[in-house]
Amino acid sequence: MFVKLPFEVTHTYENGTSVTFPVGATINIGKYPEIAKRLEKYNKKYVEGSPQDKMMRTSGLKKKGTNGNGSRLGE
Amino acid sequence: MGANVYLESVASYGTIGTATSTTALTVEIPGRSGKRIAIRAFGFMAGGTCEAVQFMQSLGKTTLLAVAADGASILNLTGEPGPSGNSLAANDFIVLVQDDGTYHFSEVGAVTGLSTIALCTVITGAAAIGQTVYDLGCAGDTGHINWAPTTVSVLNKESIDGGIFYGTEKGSPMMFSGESAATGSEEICYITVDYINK
Repeated sequence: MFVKLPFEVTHTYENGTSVTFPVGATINIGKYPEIAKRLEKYNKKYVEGSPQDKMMRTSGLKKKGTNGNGSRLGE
Repeated sequence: MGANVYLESVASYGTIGTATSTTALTVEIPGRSGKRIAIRAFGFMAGGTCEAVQFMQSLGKTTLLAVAADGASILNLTGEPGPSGNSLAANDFIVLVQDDGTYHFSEVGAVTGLSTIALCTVITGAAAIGQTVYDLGCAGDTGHINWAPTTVSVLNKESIDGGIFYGTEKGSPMMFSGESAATGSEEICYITVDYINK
């Protein structure tokens, strides 16, 4: 699976050699399982949001104290 | 990317030489129209000292504002290739797509305005208005893939079917660069490239 990285990340091989992929680098994530795990966490936090956020999006409910699009009331 | 990724063509590049503090060992990896570079395998060796090598990616692109004749040493560009905050300057590498489809790599000798980009290596074919100019920047720029070995005289190698990492977009070139602070350090490298359709 090929992904474009939203963050900079450094991977260290067993022989000590390290590689640093910059933001925007497209890599084969299958070769770097630990980066895949970090990406999964990143997506949950910044892309998918919390389970509550997901429910709000799909149900159309508004989060208390907000105007429904994520910003606070009055903003 | 994902499903329906096809291998369009393959190529192999390599060099054996001595990098110095002023001359980096480089391997030019030209782009191909409508295809994206996938680095499938490579190997390099640090000689006297362990120093990082870079796979330089395209940091931005622009086009020619005026025709460049075969043998020209000056390019006239429509705009800064980018990225923001990293203007084109002497010692940057740029790549011009010539009319015959070949990719011409050159270090920038001097920039006295976008209309006067002086090249260290004259172009080898004509290039019409609108031809693409890629900016690879210099090896130390942010945005490149950086490999740092820890042991000298050991071949650092990687390979995987489908590619380890990829060019920024279809048609975009890359360049391998290894520069040594200690004159005499040797680095040997081979690079196998798959050109894919995504």
